[in-house]
Amino acid sequence: MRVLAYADSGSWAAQLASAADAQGGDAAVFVPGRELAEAAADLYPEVYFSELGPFEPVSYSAAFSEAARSFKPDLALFPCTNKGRSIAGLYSSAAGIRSATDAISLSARAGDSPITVRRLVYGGRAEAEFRMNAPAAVCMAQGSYPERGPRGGRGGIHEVRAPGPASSVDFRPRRGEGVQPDEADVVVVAGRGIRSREDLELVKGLARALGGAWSVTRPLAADQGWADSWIGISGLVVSPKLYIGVGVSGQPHHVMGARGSRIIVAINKDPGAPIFEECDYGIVGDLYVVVPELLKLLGGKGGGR
Amino acid sequence: MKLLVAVKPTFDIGQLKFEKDGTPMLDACPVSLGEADKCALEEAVRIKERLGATVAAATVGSSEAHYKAIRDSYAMGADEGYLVKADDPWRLDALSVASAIARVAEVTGPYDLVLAGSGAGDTHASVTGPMIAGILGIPLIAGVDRLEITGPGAVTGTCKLEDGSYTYEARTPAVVTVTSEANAPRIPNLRAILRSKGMRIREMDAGELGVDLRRLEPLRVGRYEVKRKGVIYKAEDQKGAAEASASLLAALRSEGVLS
Amino acid sequence: MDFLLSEDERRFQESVSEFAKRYIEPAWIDMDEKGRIPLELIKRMGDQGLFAIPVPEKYGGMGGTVLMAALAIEEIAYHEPAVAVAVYALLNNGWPLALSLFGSEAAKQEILPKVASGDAFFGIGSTEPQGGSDVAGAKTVARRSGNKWVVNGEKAYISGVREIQELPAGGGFFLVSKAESAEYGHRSMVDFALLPRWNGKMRDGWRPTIYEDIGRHGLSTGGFKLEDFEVEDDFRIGDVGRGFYLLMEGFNVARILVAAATIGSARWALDRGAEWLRSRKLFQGRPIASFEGISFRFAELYAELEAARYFVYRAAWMFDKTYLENPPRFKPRDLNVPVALAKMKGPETATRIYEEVLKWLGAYGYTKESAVYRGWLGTFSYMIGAEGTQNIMRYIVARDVIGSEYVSHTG
Repeated sequence: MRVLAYADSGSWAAQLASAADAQGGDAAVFVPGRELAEAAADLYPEVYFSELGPFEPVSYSAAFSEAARSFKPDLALFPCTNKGRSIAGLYSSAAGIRSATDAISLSARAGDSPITVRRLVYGGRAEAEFRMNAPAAVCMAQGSYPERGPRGGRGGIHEVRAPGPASSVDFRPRRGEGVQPDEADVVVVAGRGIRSREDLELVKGLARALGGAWSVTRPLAADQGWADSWIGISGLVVSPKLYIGVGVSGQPHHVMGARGSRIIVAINKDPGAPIFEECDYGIVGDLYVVVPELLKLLGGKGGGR
Repeated sequence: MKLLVAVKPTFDIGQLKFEKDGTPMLDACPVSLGEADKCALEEAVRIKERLGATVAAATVGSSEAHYKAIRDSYAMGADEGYLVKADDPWRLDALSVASAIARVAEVTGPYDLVLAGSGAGDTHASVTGPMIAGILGIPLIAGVDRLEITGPGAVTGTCKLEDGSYTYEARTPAVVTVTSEANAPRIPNLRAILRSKGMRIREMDAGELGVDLRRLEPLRVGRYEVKRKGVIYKAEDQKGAAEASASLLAALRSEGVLS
Repeated sequence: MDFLLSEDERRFQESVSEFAKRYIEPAWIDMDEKGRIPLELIKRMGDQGLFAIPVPEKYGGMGGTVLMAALAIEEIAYHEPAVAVAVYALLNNGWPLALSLFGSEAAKQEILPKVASGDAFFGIGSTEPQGGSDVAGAKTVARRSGNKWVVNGEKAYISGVREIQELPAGGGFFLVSKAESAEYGHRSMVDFALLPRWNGKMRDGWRPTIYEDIGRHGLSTGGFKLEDFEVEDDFRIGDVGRGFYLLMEGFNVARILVAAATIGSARWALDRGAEWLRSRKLFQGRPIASFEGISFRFAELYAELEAARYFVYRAAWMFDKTYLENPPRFKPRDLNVPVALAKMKGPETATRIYEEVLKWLGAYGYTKESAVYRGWLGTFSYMIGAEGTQNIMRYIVARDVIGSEYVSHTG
């Protein structure tokens, strides 16, 4: 099975490398930019890249297609991110091949065998198993495969021709203070149980004490305007070691954004909150009482406060 | 100006229930026009109101909910409605839906913009929009929360992606997908609802359009079981909160997620 | 017999639910606590077409039915259990409809478009300090003077007294009075569209007071004295001598909508109850729903709620087939019992549901935080009266079914 991955970060390159490994056969990756290519060469035997400006789906997808013309993959793998889905959609429709998104596991054997994909459907409440014939395109959910370490040896790096962007692009990077939620080992999320913008301090303080990042659920960002970004399938998807939802009820769209977390902790005063069915540890209690207690215990043990 | 909005009824997943064996009870799950689709329609109707345009809505599927989706689109201000007939529409694969919409656009167009909802709702709307762009070979602006026609033949959209904000300007025709944060879709009043009842829905045949509708054949669909530990501590008062916190931190330390 | 809503009715119901979720639900507790409905919300409701739903389009209404109005009121009440907004809306649907059915063209053209747009309120002014149920005992008198009537008297326990002073255009009431003399009887009554404040201007001879209710705080209750208040004859509603009878017909639509409000609020309470029964676990992790003393009572209340709902929609359906369809299928008097049944069951079912749900919630239900008590107090106002007391409803049924010669005490 020849697998060509698209990755725009070290983390995705490493996740998709291990997804590709699991299928056996030959793997390669396409990345935007020589710098990423140099890093990816530790993970893949073949690396393709183009020098592309800020993300623009049509040109990025065209460049990926160039790499695919060279490498001739049976299976194309993409990150299941907003960007990944756009590229996967453009690539697969141009190539006339089938695709699947939100895949949590994949098994493909050599040659003509069909690819079996397990993907999340219905907002993550159900999973479905499909067989697809190669060639196919799959978007892998964050955290489905662990990040692989260097394989030893250096892969070959090939530059491919890329067209100019189909639209003009003006990019403004996200202004975040401190560690970003999609890079942190610990993410503390504020939900609707937090009553005011000022009270977010409780969540930020807990994040600081744990050396992690803080974020919010969608209503706090999109409706209240207390943050620029949020955790959820329409926002950031994270898979930290530890996720703590503070006053988060656990709506499906939010939980999908943190599903890949190793340990999920919930603090909520409503014993019927859906998040308690999806957590490893939970405290049923008033967050305004519980979080200060946690901070006391963490502060005392030298966690940065 | 001519705008086409691809719409689709989606399941209200918050209300989805499962049989004992894990099969999702789709028949009993309420279905309605998705939030992002409504936002896409709202953007289109706002452009119509500001600049003068006709708005067409298109869907692929023959269920009652699909006809209702077009009527609901009319109630929101769409002028034309196209329905590509398809039995058992819930298992159609994304490429089939995108191909059908692309063909509707070719046959009933030309359109300056093809809009669709992006993200949230159903997990496959996020690729349908890009696929339509890929099939039509036109620019794609995916995931806008702000959209503007910035001149004759030019459209600008701002998208909030994982690493920051991207503002794209493209020449039309283009595909734009709209997030559910873009606007607060208008709620049709009774007059608009009653008026939409009488409007004709143009049915189209996939075969005549030259589209091969393929359905996903899952081997298995089941409830996604989250195998989490589910250890719950109670904190009814200050003392309880102190005890629960201590227990939690001890557990997290033994899990190795606390430094 | 089709028990299901039509597609349009369902779509309209969904649109009201969407509106209520977006604009009313987030503010309902605040409105009940602060004791007012923001004028912006009223205007928004007007823009959305939630007032004057059954009034013909040519007067600015939605050209809908009373059944649709009931659906809208029920949905609003579901998202605003304290029912102040729901009652404001039902009054602003029912009494404008009565005006549309019985009033003069001039009055309809003048008043209804502003009500529909949310700029004005048109409610009911029937109750007097000495009695509400005994309409024939009214002491407010209107005396003809050329092209005008001069009205003297007093009304009490009237909703909207403060609102008409604050709304952009103002508003008034379907006012019930005696013609020329206060003598007891129901054959000499006359109704008016009485507008104490109109197009932003206060009229002379109207002296209001506001009361402090124990619940449903968002909508004001007050009284007013009429001192030589002048009303143009154009604003008389119906013929002299017909006042009592037209009022009763107007009460029929108001009662249907009142019942709809109480069942919407009760449905909210029962849903909160069901959530609690699922999540509250006692005696080693058993959800309290597993105790049949609780779940059987839930089933009984559910049955009553369903029954109450069918009474409402059957009465609404009959009303539409009497007044809004041609030829009418029923006569106005055929509505009396079905409407009385709806207005009897709605508030009583709501009260029983609230009492039980509060008991299930235990001490938590007794706290302001739980908010359930707001719906209890709001709907209880309909146990007490408003558009007809519970005993009058019984009187109507008994008189009609047993026979008025046996039951009547008015001769």
